Amino acid sequence: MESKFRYYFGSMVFLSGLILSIGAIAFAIMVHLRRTSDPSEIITTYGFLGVGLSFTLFGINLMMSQRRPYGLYSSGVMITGFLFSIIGVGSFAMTYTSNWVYPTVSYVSFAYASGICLLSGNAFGNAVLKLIEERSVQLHENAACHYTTEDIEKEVEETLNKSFSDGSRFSAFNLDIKEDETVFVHGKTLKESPQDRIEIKDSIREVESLQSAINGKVKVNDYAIDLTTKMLSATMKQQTEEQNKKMSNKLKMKLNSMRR
Amino acid sequence: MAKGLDVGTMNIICAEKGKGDSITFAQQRNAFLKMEAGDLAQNMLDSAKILYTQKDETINVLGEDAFKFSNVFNKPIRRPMKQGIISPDEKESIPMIKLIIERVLGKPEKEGEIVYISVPASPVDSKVNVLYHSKTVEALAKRVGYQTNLIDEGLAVVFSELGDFNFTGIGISVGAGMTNITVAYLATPIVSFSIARGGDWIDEQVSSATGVPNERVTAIKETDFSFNSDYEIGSIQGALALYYDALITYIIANLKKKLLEVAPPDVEFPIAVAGGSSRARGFLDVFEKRISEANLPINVSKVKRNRSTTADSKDPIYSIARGCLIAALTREDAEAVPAAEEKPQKAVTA
Repeated sequence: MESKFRYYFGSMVFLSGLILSIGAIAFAIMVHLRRTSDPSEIITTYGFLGVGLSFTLFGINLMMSQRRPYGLYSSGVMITGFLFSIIGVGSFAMTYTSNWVYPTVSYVSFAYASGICLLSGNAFGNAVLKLIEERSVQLHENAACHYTTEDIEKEVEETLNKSFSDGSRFSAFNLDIKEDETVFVHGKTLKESPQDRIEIKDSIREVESLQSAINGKVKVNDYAIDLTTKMLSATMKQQTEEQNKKMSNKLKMKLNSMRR
Repeated sequence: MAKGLDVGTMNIICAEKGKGDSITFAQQRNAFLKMEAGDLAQNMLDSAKILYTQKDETINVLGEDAFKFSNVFNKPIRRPMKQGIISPDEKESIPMIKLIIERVLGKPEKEGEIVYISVPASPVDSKVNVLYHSKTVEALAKRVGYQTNLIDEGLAVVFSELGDFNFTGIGISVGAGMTNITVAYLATPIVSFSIARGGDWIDEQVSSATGVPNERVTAIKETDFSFNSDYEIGSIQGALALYYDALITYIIANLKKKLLEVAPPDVEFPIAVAGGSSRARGFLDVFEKRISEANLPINVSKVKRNRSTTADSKDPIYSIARGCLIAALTREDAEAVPAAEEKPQKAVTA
C-alpha cells in the first residue's frame, strides 16, 4: 500500500516537474529571454526550470524507491539532493537581483549542482539495483514454475545417455571403406598361427557398478542428486502402477466379455 | 561376447572376457618395417614365426618384431599412427591398421557383437581433427562384423580405474602419440580433452638433444629407465627424466587451465593415470608431486596407483582396453535386460 502511494506521489511530482520545466521554457520563448532581459523574467524562467528539473528527478527517485537496507540510504540521499537543489534555486532567486557576484554565485551553483548530482546518481543506482533484483526473481520464477518432474527426469536421462551411449560429439555419419586395392600377400605366420592372447584373473566388478551409476542407483552425499533420484524413482513407480492398473482393467474387461 | 578395443599410436589392444573371472588381452605393436623381399628373407621370417605381409618386392614386418629388426638393421620404423591419429604421412597406414585390428579383434562370435573403441578427444594444443581417425577406425571394426561404439580414451580410464569411486575422478591416459584427459562425475564426462604430446614427443626431444636414434631411445625408455635415480651428465636416462618431467608439467598446466573454464561439483576427485608412457618406474611419484604443487581448482583426493606388474590387467597399458570392455559389457547387459523382459511378456500373451 505504502509503495503504491509512493509510486502515485512520485509520478505526480515527476509530472509537475515536467510541466514546470516546459512552462519555464515556454515562458522564456514568450518573453524572448536574453542576457539583458529584466531580472524578474530571468529569475522566473530559471527558477521554474531549476525547480522543474529538481521535481522531475525527485519524482523519478520516489518511483524507484528501494526497500531496506538500501532504502534508508536511498531516501536520505534523495531528500538531501532535493533540499540542496531547492536551496540552490531559492538562493538564486534571492540573490540574483542584489548580490549575484563571486563567491555567492559559486556557493549557489555548487548547492544546486550537488543536489542535481545526488538526485540523478541515486536514480541511476536504484535503477541498477532494480534490474538485478528483477533478473534474480525471473530466474527464481523460471526454476520454480517451468521445470516439472518430467523435465528433470528427461534432463537427467539425456545427460547420462549422452555420456555413455553413442556419444553426442561423434558424427552420425558412417564411413564405408571400399575393399582396398593394395593386395598384400599374408606371410605364413599371419595366415596360420592364431593371435597370442594373455589371460589375466579379473572379475570386472566395475560392470555392475557402472550399470548402477548409469541407472542413478549410486548413493552420493549430494542433496540435489539424491532429490532428483528420488523424484525419478517416484515418477517411474507411479508410471508402473498406472500401467498395471490399465492392464488389470483390460483383463477384467476381457473376462467380462468372455462371460457374456 | 562384447569386446573392448584400444587403438593406440604404439599398441593396438583388444580385451574380452575370458573363461570364468578373467580377461583375455590380445596385443600388437602398431608399427611395421619395410624390407626387401627375397626367398631367403621369407624363409627366415617364416621359420622365426614373424608376422609379415608381402607386396611385389617389399616385405612389411609387423608388430613387435618390426622394432627388433629396426634396432638390428638400424632402419627407421614405420608408424601407421602419429600423434594419436592415423598418420597422413604414411601411405600404407590404413591397410596396416586394418590388418592389425582384424588380427587382435578376431571374428565376432555372433553378428552385431558389441565393441567399444577408444578414440582421442580433440586436442587443445593442435589443429588436428580427430573425427576422420575415429570414423575410419570405427569403419574398420564394423567391416569385421561388430556393432561399434566410440568412447573417449580418458573416460575408458575412468571406467577401468575409478569404479571404487563411483566413476568420479580424473582419467589420464599418457599414450605414445597423445595424452587424453577426462574429468568425470558419476560416469558422466565434465571435461574431455587431449594434448598432442606423449611418449613419442619425449623420444623425439631426447633423440634430437642427444643424437641417439629415436628407436634406441624408445627401447631404453621402455627397458632401462626409472625416476628417482642419479643420472650421469649427458646420459639418455637424464634427458628422459627431464622431458618426462616437462610432459607431466605440461599435462597438469593444461588440466588446470581447462578446469578453470568449468565449474566441477564440490566433491573429491581421485586421479587415475594409465597408458604405456606412464609405465616408467617412479612416474606416479613425480606426477603426484607435481599435482600437489599445482594447486588445482578441484579437490584432488589421491593419485590412484595401479598394481603395475606386467601380468596384471591393471597394468596401465591394458587400462584403456579394459575400460572399453567394461563399457561394452555394461551396454550388452543393458540391452539384454529389455530382451529378457520381453520374453515372459510374450509367454503371458501367448
